[in-house]
Amino acid sequence: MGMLIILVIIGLIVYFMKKGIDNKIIRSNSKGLKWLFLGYLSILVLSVPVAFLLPIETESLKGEIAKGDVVHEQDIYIEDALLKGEIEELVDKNKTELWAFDYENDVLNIEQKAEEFYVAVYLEETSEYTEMIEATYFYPRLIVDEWDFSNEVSPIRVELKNNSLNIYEPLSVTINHGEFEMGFPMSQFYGESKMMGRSSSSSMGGQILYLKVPEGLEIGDDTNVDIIKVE
Amino acid sequence: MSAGFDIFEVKINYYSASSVFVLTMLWGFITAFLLTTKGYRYADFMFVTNRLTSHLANGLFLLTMSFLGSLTASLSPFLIRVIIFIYQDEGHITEDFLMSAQAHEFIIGFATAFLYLLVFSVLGYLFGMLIQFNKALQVIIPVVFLGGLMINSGEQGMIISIINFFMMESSFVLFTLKMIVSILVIYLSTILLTNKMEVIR
Repeated sequence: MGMLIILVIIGLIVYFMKKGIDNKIIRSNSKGLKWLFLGYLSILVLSVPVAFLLPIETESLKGEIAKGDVVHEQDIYIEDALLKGEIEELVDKNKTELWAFDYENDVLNIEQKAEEFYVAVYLEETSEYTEMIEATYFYPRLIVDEWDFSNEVSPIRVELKNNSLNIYEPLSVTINHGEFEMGFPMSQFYGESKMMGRSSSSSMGGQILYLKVPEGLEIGDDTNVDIIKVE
Repeated sequence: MSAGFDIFEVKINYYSASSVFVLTMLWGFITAFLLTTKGYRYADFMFVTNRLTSHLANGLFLLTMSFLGSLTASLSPFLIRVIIFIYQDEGHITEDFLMSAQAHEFIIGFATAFLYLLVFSVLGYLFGMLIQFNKALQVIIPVVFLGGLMINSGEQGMIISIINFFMMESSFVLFTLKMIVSILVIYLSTILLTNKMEVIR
């Protein structure tokens, strides 16, 4: 369909140009065309300094270009480290969100309050706390077309109500990103040529919540999440 | 490009002036082709004396036209950048080659555009001149070209190989040599093929 439209446009251009030549319209309008061309050229020349003077805030993500595999590798690394109980090291190295709740009951329900959303919950019983629950959320990596948008990701929400720890899905986020790239033919010698199409990729890490609870705390029957116990 | 993860939606807009350049090449081809039509040829012989001088005059016109076309195409990214700024939010562009490109990259970009435009112009001129021999060629040549693209497609196809020969060249010096040789071969072929053609045909 697109090709057909282009062919129709080309056909119309050729037809009108031929008609113009035959009718000597172009020749009689040559002065007008000259001014039209000069006007267009002036706008183009003027746009050069204007483009450089625009107050554009370019928040570059260039230094953070990453491959999609990084996401998978990082997930595996975090899972392994959490199972080994190396939570402190991970907190230092990764972007996290921390919640602490006072809790005195013997039973705790952990409930996920959203459908079509998965969060891996790691549970560690610790003697450090007797009347407190600590929840640590690890932000997932988000990589689209080798651009790292991890800093744009919003966290899950965690609330304690009575004897239930409720997990809510993150707030919906729309990220708008624009790139003014080097087009053809410049890209033939500098950078990757996109004339033959563009391949696209995206990957996002898993949602991980690590809970530290007092020793002996019982997990209630209303719990609806998969719990991975850390020994 | 858009990627969705239920809760997160990422929209990436890629801007470039490639389409402007492709349309400029098309314009070059059509304009050169139209130079060979009856109206221009008749007007041509009011000023020049024979077929060879007509070709040389047209050659100079194609050079001038390619220069102006490549100049406007090379400047168009700046205008597009200004238009994006007007119609999009400030800070929408997070990567911008215009702000990071070096002066020599623009110069090489301009020279490359000029060579591409010139090769398309001389091709349009050759195509137009061939049609003067036989009107059936205006159907046969596009059919052969498009048919060749469809039947003999893939990386090993002849037409794709020819396109790759120019477009995949990463050395500017080699690319320039390839282009200049091609332009000369096409243009000289046009002159030799049509040198004996009647003045008004």
